[in-house]
Amino acid sequence: MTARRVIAAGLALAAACGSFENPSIVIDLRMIAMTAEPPEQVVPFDPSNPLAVAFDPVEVCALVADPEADRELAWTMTACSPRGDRRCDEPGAAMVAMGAGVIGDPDTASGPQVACAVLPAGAGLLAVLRETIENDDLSGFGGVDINVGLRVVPVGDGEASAIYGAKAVRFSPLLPAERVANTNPTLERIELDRGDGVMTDLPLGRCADQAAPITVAPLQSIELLPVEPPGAREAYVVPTFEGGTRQFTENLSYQWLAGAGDWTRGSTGGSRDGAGNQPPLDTAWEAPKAADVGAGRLVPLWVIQRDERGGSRWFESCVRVAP
Amino acid sequence: MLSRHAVLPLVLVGSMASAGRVQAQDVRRDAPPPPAKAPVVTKAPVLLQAVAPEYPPAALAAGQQAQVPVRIFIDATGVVIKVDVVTAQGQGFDQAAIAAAMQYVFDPAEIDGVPAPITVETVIHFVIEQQAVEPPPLLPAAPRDPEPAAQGPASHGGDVRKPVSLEGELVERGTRRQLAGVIVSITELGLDAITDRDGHFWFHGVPAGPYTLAAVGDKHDRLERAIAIAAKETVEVRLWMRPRGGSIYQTVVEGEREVLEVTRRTLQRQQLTSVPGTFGDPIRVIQTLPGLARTPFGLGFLVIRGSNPDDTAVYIDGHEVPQLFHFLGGPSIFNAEFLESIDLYPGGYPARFGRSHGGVVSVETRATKSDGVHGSADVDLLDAGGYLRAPVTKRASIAIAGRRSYVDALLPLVLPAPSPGSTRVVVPVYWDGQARADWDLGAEGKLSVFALHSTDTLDVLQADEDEEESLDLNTSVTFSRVIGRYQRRLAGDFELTLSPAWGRDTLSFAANTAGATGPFTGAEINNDVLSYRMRVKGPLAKTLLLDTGLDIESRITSFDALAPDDSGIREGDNIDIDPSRLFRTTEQLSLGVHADLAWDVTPKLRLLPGVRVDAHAISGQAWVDADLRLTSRWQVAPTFTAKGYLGSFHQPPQPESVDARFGNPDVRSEWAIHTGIGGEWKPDRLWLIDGELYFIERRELVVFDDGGELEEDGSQVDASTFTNSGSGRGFGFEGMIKREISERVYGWLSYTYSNSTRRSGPTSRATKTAFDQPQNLNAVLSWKPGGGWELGGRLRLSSGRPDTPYTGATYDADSGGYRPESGGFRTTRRELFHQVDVRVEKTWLFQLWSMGLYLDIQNLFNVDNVEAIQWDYRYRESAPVTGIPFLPTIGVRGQW
Repeated sequence: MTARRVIAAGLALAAACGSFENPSIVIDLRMIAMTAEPPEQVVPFDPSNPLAVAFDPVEVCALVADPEADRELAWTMTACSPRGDRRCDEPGAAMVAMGAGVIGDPDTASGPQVACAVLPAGAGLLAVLRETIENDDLSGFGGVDINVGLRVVPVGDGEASAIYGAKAVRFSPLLPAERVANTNPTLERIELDRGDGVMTDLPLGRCADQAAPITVAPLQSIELLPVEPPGAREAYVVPTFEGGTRQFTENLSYQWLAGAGDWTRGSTGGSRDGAGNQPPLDTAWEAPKAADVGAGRLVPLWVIQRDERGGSRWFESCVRVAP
Repeated sequence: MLSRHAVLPLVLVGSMASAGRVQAQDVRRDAPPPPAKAPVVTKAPVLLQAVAPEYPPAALAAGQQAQVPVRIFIDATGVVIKVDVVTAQGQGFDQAAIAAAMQYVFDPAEIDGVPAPITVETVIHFVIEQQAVEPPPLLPAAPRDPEPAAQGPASHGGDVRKPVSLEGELVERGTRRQLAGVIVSITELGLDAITDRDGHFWFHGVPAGPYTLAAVGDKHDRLERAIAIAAKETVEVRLWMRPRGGSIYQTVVEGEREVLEVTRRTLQRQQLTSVPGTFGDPIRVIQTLPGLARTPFGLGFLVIRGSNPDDTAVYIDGHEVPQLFHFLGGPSIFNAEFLESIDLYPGGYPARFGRSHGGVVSVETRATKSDGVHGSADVDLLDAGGYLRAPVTKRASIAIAGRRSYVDALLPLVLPAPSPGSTRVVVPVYWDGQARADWDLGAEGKLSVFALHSTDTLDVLQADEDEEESLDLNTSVTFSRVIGRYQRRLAGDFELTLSPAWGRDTLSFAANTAGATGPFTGAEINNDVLSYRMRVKGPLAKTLLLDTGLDIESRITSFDALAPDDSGIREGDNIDIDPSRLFRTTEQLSLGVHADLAWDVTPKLRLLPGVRVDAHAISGQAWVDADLRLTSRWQVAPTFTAKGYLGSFHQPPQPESVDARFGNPDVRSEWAIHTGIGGEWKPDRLWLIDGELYFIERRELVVFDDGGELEEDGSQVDASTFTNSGSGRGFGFEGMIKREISERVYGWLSYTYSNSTRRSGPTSRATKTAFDQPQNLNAVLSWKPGGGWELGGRLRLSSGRPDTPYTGATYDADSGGYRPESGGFRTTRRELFHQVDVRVEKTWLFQLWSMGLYLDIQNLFNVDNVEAIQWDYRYRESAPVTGIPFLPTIGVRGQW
């Protein structure tokens, strides 16, 4: 009786999950990634005046996909304290309007269409930091994240079509003294195996920017492996409550997205699971079936690389699927 | 006229009803009878006044005659309160017989020397020659012998100076249970004997010849057997009585409101094993009583009046246990054969119960008997269990029971092989065992030892060896208890109970890669519990009764964990930390003293003040809690009683929340005030209508506060994470319309209106509790058409649980996931839950044993009840997770 209930619940849950769209397949307007440069600033710490330091400006960029439409997208970017829904629209909260603009269609417009804005190192940033520190459990001693909210909406559409995203930008005190600011990770290449055992590099770039993307048959699988350059996984120290330090090495994770088809793993890398398994880095992408590609179809692929400290980077590629 | 030989054979119903009531009452009012002693009819009722019935005119004109067998229910004063016709004769004879018998007056029967209600059976003859029916002769029958026969014990019929001509034993078919207190008669001679507590009877000086031996019981079919007695010989007989309806599995409906504790609802042993949807598990039946909320997927949480499940204490023989059901919706941890009674106290409970401010469930185990070897066995598709009891000596006996599920062995045979990367199937495996030994020390009292063990584990059923990410999961929850009990009478009708207990609860978890030599992560939490209870109860005066005692509980909790420890790191999120071993212990010692006083202010008004004081020493902190409680009952009319209560209830925090490292040493007990008012109307012996309004205020609830405090120098951080800043409130109405057990039908309708909210802090918004269910209705009906068949149905209706809607989501670029935007925490409610369960059972009775086969169907109409909501990754689409589908279960059980 017990097992039946559990199984019944599990089957129902599985059925419910099966009816949802695949999160690794991008089918409409969607944010792909956001990066901050630099992702972290480490500043000398003065307990008597934590904000009496000089910060650098931070550039935040966002990659958006909109595969089912050919249209321009309007965007606004705002920095605020990370509260509530992280959309930086809470009345009365300190915030910095970083910028706004319009990008062309992400898939077809000429040249990469990226929304970028700069968070200036000025009074606005200090106000946001002050509010963030006031709401921080540790009053900023462990470092704080301020939030950059992004709103994207097709030009001419209303709020119902808007999508939102958020990116954390870290500001840390120089505690311990050997602490070094995080940098965004990077990749040396992405290895491609079409099933013939021959490893090649996956060409990078949007479909609109690639003259001859790789071509695969419907339902054909390709295996992908991110290859990191030496030192990509940074060593870093963190302070402990007891006043000491502990050193760790970053683990890098990869999120895999595509415009069609399917992935065997939507995310790879990261930390070990509860059983101690080291997570695999590779995945495989299966092309859509013939009925979905007609005479041929360009399918965008995205890889988002992240460390556990707010650093990230995205890579775009393209596959042609033809019968 | 009444048959000369219809000597008003007594039946057991009166004595059983009386015994049940005595057990249900609190001993503060009534002298406690030894629970194992069977009530014995010590004096038969005597007919003092009979009335001749009116001969039906039409039947008289038609020249029709009849013999109408009737069953007469007599109360403790000798007044006839009800007459049933056993076999209808029609033509107006039945009504005439009832009208006449209702006017009879009896000298009441006595059970254990005390006047008591009883039921008798006789035949009223309608004979035309006499134009009317003669009134029956007064009983007992006039002696036939010229000199009076010498009277012996009630179990001996005839002149005891003469040798025994016939001796026998009366037992129940299927169970071999000896039937005490039943009159056996030699109908031709009008001689009677009442079976003693072992079911034996004797007749002396019976002349040689053929006779008819008759025995009639209200819960058994009438038995007649022809015998032949020879001169100077003693005939020995064994009479087998068949339970009425052909089923030995009694389905007595109790749900009883007790006279003293205003809100106690009692289920007795052997009751409710046939309620549909409970798989024959009587403990599950408490979830259909008023005050309990329905829990999703059939999970066994006890959610009483909006409280958290952890706020309700579960006791076995007075000692607290961590759980009553195997986890993930499993059956109760108890074999029903070991169950004597279950008391549910949704609120306002006596002072002997403490350290919880929700409700109380108190389970009493059943004493074993030295009446032969008996047992039972149950087998269904998913588990099997058995029970066996046997005498050791005439005064000592033992019993054992056990159950084991085998779904882990069966499922792999029917489930398909997993696809690569698919979710593994994990199912619970449970087993439990119990043992009990009893010694009757005579005047020195009674001694018993009860041991209980329960284990739940999670097994990985399907592991794909080709998967790169392997998993070896080992999770188990076990607990054991050994409970001793010594009871004896003291001077002045006081009763003393001493009860020590030992227990260990273990929760363990370990995970590692398949083939690893040791766990990568794991945890084991052990609770070692020593407890002791002393209770003294008895009358201080004619109108004053006392129930007092003390209870001590010592609990040492040890945590042994192998896990990534980020507690010392200021920014521990997402860091891949090597597991390290953490060992920690916490201690709790609680001493409670309690006293309840029952004061009959007037014959119709009873006040019950109570006081309880608990001293706690938990994780190095010490404090004292004190509770005052007052209950009252007022008999407004013979069939209506008003009742009310007011009291405070403290509950200590979990030791870990007081721990200096993981919790807050300043945390103290939560507490609540329970208030209630209601009434009971019992228009007759079969019906009870009961209603109650309640209000509960909960204060100083322990809540998790993620706001740490920073020391001035910044080097130390106060990790206070628990505070007493929470509060809660609940109010509602509980009602029950109940039809007591009769020969063929029982049922009840219970309804609960409940509103419960909580606040996490003084300024925070009140939100509905997780299981808040304004409307909850249960209807149960069971019918025994005869021939060993029993048909039952259950209807459940309840409000959906509170839910939180989402209006959108924000993409989190640092994790790649989405953060939902709440449309208001628990501001919507899921759909109404409704479900019908049915059960069909057929019992075959054999001479020495019985067998039952049942089909229990849950969700007969396969209704898709929404138990949870699943959202897509962007919180744009949602889909319901439905509950149990159409679910038939077949089982068989035997008893001997």
